[in-house]
Amino acid sequence: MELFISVLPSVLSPMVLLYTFIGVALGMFIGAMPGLSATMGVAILLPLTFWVEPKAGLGMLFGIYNSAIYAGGISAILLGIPGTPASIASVFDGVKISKKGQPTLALWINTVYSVMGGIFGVLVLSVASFPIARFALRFGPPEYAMVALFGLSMMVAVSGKSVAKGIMVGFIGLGLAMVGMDPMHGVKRYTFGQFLLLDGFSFVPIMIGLFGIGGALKQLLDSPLPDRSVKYEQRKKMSFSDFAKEDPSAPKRMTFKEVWATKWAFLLTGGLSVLVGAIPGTGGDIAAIVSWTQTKNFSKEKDQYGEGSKEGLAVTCVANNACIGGAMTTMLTLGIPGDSVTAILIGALMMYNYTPGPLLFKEKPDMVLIIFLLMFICNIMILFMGNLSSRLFAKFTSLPRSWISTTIVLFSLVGSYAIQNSTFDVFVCFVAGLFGFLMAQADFPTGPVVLALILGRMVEANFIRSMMLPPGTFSTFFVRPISLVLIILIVLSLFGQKLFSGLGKKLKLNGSGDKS
Amino acid sequence: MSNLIMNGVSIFLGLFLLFFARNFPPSNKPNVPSASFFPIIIAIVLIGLGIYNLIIYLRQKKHAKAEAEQQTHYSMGKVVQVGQVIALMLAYALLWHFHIGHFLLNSIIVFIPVTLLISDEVKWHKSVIFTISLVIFIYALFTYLLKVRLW
Repeated sequence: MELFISVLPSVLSPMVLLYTFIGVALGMFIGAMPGLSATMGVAILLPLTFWVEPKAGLGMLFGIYNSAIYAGGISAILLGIPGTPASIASVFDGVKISKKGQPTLALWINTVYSVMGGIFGVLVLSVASFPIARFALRFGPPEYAMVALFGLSMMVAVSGKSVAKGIMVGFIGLGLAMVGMDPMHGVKRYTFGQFLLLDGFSFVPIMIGLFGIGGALKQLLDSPLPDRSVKYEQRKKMSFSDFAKEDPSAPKRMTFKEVWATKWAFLLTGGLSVLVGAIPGTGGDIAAIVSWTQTKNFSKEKDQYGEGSKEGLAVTCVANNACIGGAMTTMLTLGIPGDSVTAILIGALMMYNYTPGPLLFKEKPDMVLIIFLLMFICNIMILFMGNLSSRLFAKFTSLPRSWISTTIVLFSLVGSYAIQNSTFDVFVCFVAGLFGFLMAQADFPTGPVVLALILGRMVEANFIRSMMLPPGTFSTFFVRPISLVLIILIVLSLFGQKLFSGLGKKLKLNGSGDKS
Repeated sequence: MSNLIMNGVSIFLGLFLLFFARNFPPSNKPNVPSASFFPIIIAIVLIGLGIYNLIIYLRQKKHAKAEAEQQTHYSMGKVVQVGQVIALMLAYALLWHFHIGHFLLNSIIVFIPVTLLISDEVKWHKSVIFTISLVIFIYALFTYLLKVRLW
């Protein structure tokens, strides 16, 4: 409590609040724009935060993260186009409510339930993270090596694409992580005499390139060629549907009784989403779809789901933002990113000389508390700004695509230079952008590269340290209970799906054989 | 095509890692892996997966050849457009690296064509005004507010 009181004034300082506010506003813009993601936003705006104190910089980054995930629902509700992948499930009921002439009600649900979900996530984060971190303090090098490998395997398993492609991309990331001084022997690897490569590739320019330039190029290729024989104003009308018309007699918000009636759905969704978010490699999209499906099964109004159910929309909004708390828990306590955004946040924290992991809780508990408070403040800001300006941000979707793409590309290149005033980083960003574009084009997941870049050195250093422990053989990993459990989880995450589906088929065949 | 390049990148990176990993010194402690241990494992997996994915891709391509040809023809204009944008970005990075010209001038010269190339807007002057304003805004933001020396 004393610690809480001592850090509170620094979090409530005007500079920190201003940067957090800017982050929330930028996040709302990014989230409302279909095609721009929270990951892209955090990556390209990260260099702007290096010149301010860590609290203010983190406030801005958390603001972008939380509000972009929330604001993805604005375009999902009004236009039927999810602003971010996390708001895919908000389309199911959001558009239908909007089309019934109640867009203001749908936007109110999006704002209020997203904030409720976000605060639920922060509460779970604050309650669960200290015990988890205390438990993680018992981890030795073998456990850390396996936790990092588990993070990588989960990212591959839930990447949604072919497992072989996911593994391949993950190994490309691991290959890049091998550049620089070897963590144990001090051997210079693949540096070719370049001083800048001694510490390995700088993480931030790669992130900016992959998500910023790669995303912008992919958008450019996917957009149709402009038919210049048709006037721009006409094409604009064809591209963006009119904002939903409001029925003057329709309710603008839910009553307290209606909100109270959703308490069980809220708790179920909140709990599920925090758990889903805590699993590395998952994200708001998976949390929202899982929550929507599960609450539908338990709901009294299950027939209404997908037909404009207020509860249906509410649970997807809760899921999106509660998931952030889960992802942050894994990131802060174990140093393993829960998703691509938390991977970038790890990079940001490291730049500020704070290394996420159990030691952060032991050595810098004040910083951990500041992070919790910043997350909470972001949600409060979203509540006010969301209710006041949701429609305004939705109108930004009609901005010309070329303007957005040019801004992203220019910001990416200048931002990557600004980190170390190095033109080498500009080239790294450019090449990473091309690589990200090729990956998106070939349907390869981007997440494993990011994770492998962060976890590659952690796996290697802890693996070698483990081998130095007696008995000095691979059995070190199998005789320690936590490490063994993690090995089993790694095998299950990579091959479990095939294993269980194969087993299921066999059982089915046996069953049909019995019948015949 | 991008699939082919990705598999090529994987195989090339694998061979690259393997080639240089041979020269790393051995470990000076018994039972402790040397500096080349991880790079060699990664290289072998990369080469293996690259070949595996390539075989799968070529098999799929054989089946859907007609479809692929049609798709290539359809997106050719876009591919050229993306190629032009990439070329302009590369030129920009090179100008920056060799300290040729000033940030403001180079950015305007490179990014006006980029905006016009990808523009959906018939009124070109709006794009030009936007690009110039954006460049000046970024220059002011980084130079005066964030104290980064651009060029």
